Amino acid sequence: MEDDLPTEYDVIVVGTGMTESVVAAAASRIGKRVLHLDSNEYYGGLWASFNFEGLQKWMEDCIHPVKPTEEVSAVARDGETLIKAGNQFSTVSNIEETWYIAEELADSQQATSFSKNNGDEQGEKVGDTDDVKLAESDETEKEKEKENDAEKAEAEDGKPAITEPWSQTKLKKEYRKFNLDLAPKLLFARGSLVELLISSNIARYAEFRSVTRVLTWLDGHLEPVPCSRADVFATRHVTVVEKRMLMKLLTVCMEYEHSSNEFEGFEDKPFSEYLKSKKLTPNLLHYVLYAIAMATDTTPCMEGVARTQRFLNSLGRYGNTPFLWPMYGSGEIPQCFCRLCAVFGGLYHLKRAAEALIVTDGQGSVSACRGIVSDGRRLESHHLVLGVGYAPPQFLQAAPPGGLSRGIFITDRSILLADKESLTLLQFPPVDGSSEPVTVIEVGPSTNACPPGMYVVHMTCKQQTTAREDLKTVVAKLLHTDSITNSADSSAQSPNKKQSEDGEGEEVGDTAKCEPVKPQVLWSLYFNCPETSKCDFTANIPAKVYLCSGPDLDLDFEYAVTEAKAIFSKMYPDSEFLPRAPDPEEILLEGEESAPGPIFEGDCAKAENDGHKTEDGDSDQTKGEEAE
Amino acid sequence: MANRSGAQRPNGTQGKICQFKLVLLGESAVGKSSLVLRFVKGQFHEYQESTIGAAFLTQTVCLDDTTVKFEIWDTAGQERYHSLAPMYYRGAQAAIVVYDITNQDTFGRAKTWVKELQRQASPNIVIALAGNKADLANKRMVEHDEAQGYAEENGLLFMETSAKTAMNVNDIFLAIAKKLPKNEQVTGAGTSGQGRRLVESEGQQKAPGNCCK
Repeated sequence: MEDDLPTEYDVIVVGTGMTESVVAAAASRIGKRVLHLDSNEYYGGLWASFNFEGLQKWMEDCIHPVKPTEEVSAVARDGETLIKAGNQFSTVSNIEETWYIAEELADSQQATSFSKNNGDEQGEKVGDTDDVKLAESDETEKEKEKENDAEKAEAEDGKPAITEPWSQTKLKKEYRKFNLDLAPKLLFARGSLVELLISSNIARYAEFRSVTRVLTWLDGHLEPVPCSRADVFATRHVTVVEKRMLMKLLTVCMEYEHSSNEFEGFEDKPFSEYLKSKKLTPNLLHYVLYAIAMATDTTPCMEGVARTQRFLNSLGRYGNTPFLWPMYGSGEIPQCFCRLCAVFGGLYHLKRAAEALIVTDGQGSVSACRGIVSDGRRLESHHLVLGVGYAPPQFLQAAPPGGLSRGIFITDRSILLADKESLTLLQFPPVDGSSEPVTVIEVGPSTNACPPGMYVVHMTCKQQTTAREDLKTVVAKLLHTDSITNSADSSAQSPNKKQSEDGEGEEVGDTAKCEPVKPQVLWSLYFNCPETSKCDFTANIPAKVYLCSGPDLDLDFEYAVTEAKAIFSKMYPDSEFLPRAPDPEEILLEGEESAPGPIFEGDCAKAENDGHKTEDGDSDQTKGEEAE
Repeated sequence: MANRSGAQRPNGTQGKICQFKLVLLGESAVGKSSLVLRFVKGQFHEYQESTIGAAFLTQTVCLDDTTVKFEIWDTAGQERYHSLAPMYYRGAQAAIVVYDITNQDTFGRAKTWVKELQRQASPNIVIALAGNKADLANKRMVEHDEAQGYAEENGLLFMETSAKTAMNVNDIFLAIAKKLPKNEQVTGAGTSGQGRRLVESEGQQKAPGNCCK
């Protein structure tokens, strides 16, 4: 039954990473027959988001990869060669998982959390955990943080007290409430992905939250960056004179096409030198260079200007910052494109590998790909789109070594306390001898990243040594990583204990909520994975094969979208890339007659199908009343 | 999706409008799309192509002063090789798990889908079990009582339906609508509706309250 898969396609796509999924959707959208495979049982490859249990499984697979099955050579015909596909898991390295909390709570603490744990067990079994209730307890937590009246973590009246300490067992019980990203990505509000989601009508499959604040690290502590005009005028961190300077500079950067003399003499110099020439105060220079342009001291001037523009352009569309974060994590985005592909007829098969590529020998001429071997069967296609993890090693000889260092931290509070839950971007500038900036994204329960009472901190930077080593400096500055496996110390998780700047713990009884309190890390994961966006994917590769890079260092999905467009236009140069999918009300189903009649907004029958009929039609607006 | 407050009822009165995401599950060829087409369009096609994929339909039902708008998601065929994307379940407040009463295997698979929902979907999801093709009673392989018993054990709504004759089709959607919580809090996309959908005219979505600041 499994093998009723058709054997001929226009496009076979192997791997469900971001680029692969966008290409699959684009091909399917113009009517091509698409087969989309992934050897994993989940979508997204290295772009995936997992719940806590799923992430454990992923680590296990990385450490003990399943041996690929031996290929069957019988399917090769005369003049064809089989090239064994690559093994994606060999590419993730330096995986280090650490717990900072006790496996179980001591008896006294267990008692206080009993009612909650009990409820959770029920929730898993019959699925009746009350989300609304949890939202309430989130409120409770905030109130407590504000009033700072939580002497000890205690459950009151059967309500879960979020300030009670976490144990490993307790955290694992909440595994479903996590969505942890391998490749956390933000979207620029006017970036190419947002525009594509809207123009293709794929946006309806996803929901987002606005990043609520942009922070920077300045003079040894975290500071909010004024990014919008309103912020600039509202901020207390800069003087009136500085405000004028900043506005003027940002305006110049925005309108740089019109004031081309402005940057004369700086074309070959770093952006930082231009900023210095404007006599900005050190504070302002820091804001613009590191937080707004997200540049470094050596970023060329015009690139810095372009980056500043990108930031400013995306302001004011959604929320206070230029950024959006996908609900349930970045791993949702490839799935949205996969769904569109499926809606237009694309076939999906997870847990199905491509063991080998079928390539013509190409005497004298260029060899070309004819398809793949999958489960020993020959599947033919005109084009083969391959995630880099599946690429045969010999295709990647030209690939320069490069990698990402990643850290994921589950913590007990935000890196900078605020009145309400924040979604934070922090571009940590290169400091104290670390030569690379570190991108820090902190997400909370309202994005479904974690259960109430926790935050998830993602760190990403260019790989120098190992992930743990590369992120060491930033982790030490932002997070409290002493292990509190001794349950007597678990009270350190409660917010009534604060740390001073240098990390020394100090008990406080009074309200001092403005003082920074470093979050306690409950659990962390480090790993390195390849950064392939700088690779040349055209050398050593047969015709009709298109390689897709994995997650890149950039903050957003820009690179993957650009790459997908390029691949699509090589395959189908004359076709439109992801034209708008029709809205339900624009579609008529087969056999339906078009008859003019009144249609009420929000009350008409709607359908979405293969979209070859797109006239407005007689939606059955009486249905609702009949059903009554 | 969150708070399309502009939506008006046909008669112009401004009743409460609640919108819910409903997902369909079940093996291929049990009649998932047919059920929805019957409900939404009042149509039935005997030889419905499986690829027609009515993958995203909406239909409203009226309950007293409340208009319940279903945003109905179909699997788009991703269930065929057990490759349904988790995003499909995100924020779904209701699900109809469909089996074919003439095929015992599809009933077994329906139970697996129920488990999958309990694992993947929101804990509060309202699940209905639909024994479809009830018009083919002479070929029945799944007894009504067996399915009813299973549904009761698992807290599911249950009806035998026929997309062909329209038997119980509207009823099952109506039963779900009645069971869904309709307080103001879940207007829009309910628990999932905390996020924002991206739309062309961006200003529109800047409704107070629901959207993040």
